[in-house]
Amino acid sequence: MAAEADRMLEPEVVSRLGALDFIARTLVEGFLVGLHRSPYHGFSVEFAEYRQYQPGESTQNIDWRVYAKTDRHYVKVFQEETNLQARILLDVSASMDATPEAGRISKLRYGKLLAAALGYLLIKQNDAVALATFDDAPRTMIPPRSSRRQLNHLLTVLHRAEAGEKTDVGRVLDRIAEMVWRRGLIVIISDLIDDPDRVLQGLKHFRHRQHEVLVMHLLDPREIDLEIGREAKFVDPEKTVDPVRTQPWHLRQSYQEAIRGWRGRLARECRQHDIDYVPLSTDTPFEVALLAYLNKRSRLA
Amino acid sequence: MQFLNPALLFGLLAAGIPILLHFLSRRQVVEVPFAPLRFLQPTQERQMRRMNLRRLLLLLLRILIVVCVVLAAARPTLTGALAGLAGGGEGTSVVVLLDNSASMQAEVSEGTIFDRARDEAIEIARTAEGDDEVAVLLYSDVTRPLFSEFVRDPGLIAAELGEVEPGARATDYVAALEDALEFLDRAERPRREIYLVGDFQIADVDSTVRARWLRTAREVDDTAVFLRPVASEPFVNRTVDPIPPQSVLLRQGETIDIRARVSQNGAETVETPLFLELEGTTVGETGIVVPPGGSARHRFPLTLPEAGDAGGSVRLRPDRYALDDESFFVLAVSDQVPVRVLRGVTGEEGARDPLLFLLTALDPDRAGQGRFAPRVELAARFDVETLPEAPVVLGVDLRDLGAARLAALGDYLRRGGTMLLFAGDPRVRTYTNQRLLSGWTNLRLGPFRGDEDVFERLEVSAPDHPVFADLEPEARATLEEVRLRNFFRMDETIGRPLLRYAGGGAAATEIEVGEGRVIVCAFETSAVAGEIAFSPMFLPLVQRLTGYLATAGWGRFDRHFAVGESPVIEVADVSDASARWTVVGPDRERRPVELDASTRPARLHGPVAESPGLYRFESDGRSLGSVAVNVARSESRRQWWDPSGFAELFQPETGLRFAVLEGAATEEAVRAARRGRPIHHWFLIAAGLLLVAEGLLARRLGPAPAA
Repeated sequence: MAAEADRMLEPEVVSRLGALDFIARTLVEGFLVGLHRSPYHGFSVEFAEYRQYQPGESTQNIDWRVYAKTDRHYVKVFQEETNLQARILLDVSASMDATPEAGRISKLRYGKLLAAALGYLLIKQNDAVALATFDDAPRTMIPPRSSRRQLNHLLTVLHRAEAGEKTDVGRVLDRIAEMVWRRGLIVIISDLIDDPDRVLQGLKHFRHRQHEVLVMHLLDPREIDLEIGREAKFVDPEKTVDPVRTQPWHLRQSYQEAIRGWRGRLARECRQHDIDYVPLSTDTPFEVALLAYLNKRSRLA
Repeated sequence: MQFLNPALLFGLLAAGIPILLHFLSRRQVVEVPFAPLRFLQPTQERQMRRMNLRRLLLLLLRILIVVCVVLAAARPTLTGALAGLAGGGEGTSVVVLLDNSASMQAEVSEGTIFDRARDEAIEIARTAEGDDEVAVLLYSDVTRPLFSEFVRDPGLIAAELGEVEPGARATDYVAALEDALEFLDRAERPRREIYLVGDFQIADVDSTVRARWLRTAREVDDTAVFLRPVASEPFVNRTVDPIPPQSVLLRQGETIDIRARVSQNGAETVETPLFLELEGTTVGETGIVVPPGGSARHRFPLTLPEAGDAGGSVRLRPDRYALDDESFFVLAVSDQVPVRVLRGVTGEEGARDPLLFLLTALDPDRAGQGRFAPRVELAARFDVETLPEAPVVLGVDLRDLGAARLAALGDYLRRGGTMLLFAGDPRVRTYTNQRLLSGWTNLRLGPFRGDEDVFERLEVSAPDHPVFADLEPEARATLEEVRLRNFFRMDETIGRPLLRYAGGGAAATEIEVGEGRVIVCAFETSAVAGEIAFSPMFLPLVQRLTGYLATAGWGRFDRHFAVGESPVIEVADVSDASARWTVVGPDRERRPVELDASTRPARLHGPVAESPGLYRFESDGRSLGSVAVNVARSESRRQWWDPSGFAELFQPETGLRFAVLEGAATEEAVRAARRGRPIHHWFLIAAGLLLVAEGLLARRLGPAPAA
């Protein structure tokens, strides 16, 4: 069962599941079942109630004192904190929709699934969640709510989100940072293909406003390793750079070094400014991203 | 640089293929949307300059590989000083094959065709220069080198060739080319050439020549064969075709027909006188009209002279090719043939006696003056010692032979004796099958048919056999009317059936026993056996069968030979050890001959006949017999090969490359055709090296294995 649940978190499998709400639920529930085996025992501190222990459930949460008194097994159920406002910023620019290898899940699709899962998880924890999509400007913004309807709203917006045109990550982050005055958690899902200085400037702006920032830097695996075995004409989906016709195996090494340098710089500078930077690729299991969120969430708690 | 296969240079167009593929591959590139293109671009600009250079280099290598392979296939050669620089020494080993067959004696405007060919050969020899070496081989059906080794002095060759005249032999191109290649095995020069100079007469060329050539030809590399035809102008040639040998016994004083046929290859009707000569005297003369491209026949009646061999010829008035205008023949005329008749002691008198009619057939007036002199002996007591002298034995009921005489009879047959065996009596069937035939052949007498009311007719099953060859249709019809009652059937697939029954099965079959032959007649010849003994054809049939066997026994070898063959005759008496055996040819010279006493009768082998005519064998000046020698018929055809057709016939399956020497001036034609030192292997090596370089470069340019 646990193995099946793990597999359910593979992007390629998840993306074929169908409706976004079903995917999000499946993703999160599967994730949580898997979590019972993990070091993350719980993510809330406030006690809510007792309930009867069910066979097969973990014995970690059995209250032995109650057992001593009643001779029955009861499990403690904790109540979540509800004062967190999380904002998910999803990049929907043209670069997110491009896949160098036909048939692979696109960054945009991966980002949508990840955003839906995070939204589901946040709502399940009774946190307020907001969503913004952007390319070279903010496209859709949903103000934060923690209701169940908010999740439906969020999923609808994600479902309808289509790839835009050019990216201007730095400027957009700046603008959103200006618009959000209440402190909270900012989750950015983007390939960050823009001038790194401006991107970092936008991220720092959030920090400047006392936000907690989690950057999920999403790339296609081929955009990381350039493992393309034939001569090709490489075109920029956002048409900002001239096409390049090349035999990629000649450039692979130097390209990989450049990508490593770019991601390394982002990671380094994010760390310096206490920003959580999570490098992801579209073949990374969602578990990694969700764990990164939980890490961040637990620290906030 | 010259090319032996210049037509293949069109293959250089194939050099466009790598260029085409290069551009096609550039056009077929797919578009890949790639978001982090900004990280690719600066790297790409540096790398692509170097890569484009390598791709151009790769393209160049591929073009060069194609060019090298095409050039190698076109067989490039270097001539002159360049050939010397190519290493391995200079010079050419040249073999000139000069046709001196009979057809080269044909006269053209300035002499004979051979004179023309000789001049061409001298011209070719004169093109030799520097380290070149030349050999001249005279070819007909044998090949004879002018010098035993290659020579380097064209003057010496010219002087020696001046003494050579054409012979009267046939032509054998396969042997000539094989001998030339064998001679070239001794050559020391790097280049090898054969020049075939002749009239390219279609001589002895049939479907077997190609098969023979393919069987004998070796794989030969780097040898060129140049064809130089010297006779292309057609002219009318009249030929007296060979006179068919008279196979049935001829008798002194008889009148026979000499059947002559004249052929001609021209397009007009030709009228020409025709002469019959016998022993040097003209005994017949007529005029004959030959239609265009056809032949005409004439029969000369000839009364046979006294016993012995009579040599003669049929001749025309000589034309431009005189060698085939006279055809020689020999007639073996006998006065009387002794026939040994072996019979059983149980022979019955009267109508049942098989000998009654047989002896009448052999000696009709019973006066011993006929063609045959039968000597009747009992099978149990015949003279074994004198048996080998008998030209033919007639056997009837041999059940009393006994083991020793049976063995002697078998020995006589195997050494070339002949026997006419009448085995139609049902009482001798078992002995004939189990003792006689079982030692000689698989032929057996089948079940006996002796019904009173059932008759079988005879049919001639081998009308071309010498026994029946000149049988008139009426005589044959009379023979086939004969009805038999007592007879055996024999298997028609064994031996050569001469007569068969209308209802199936052989009635008379000729079989070979060693060098001898036996004709087995499976029908009775007595008066009770049917109508055969009373048929008007019975006497001629027995005489023809006996005469044929007598001829086959005495003149075992045909008395007609071709130039180039060694004539042979048989002699009965070789008891005189001191006798001097000789042969006298048309040139009147007396030459010694070899006696082969291992056969019975013994044989005399004359030297190879080099010219047509009559050859008389003698013992101490006493004539033993004659043979006729004629020019091979193939030498009279007066048809020439299209040299390219000749090349097509001989070229396949070998490394030889044939080319026709074109042009009026031989020396110029030779120099134009002469190839230099072959250097195709250089191009092959270069292509190989380029291929390796291409592989290495392509590997560097190709997709790297996935990490």
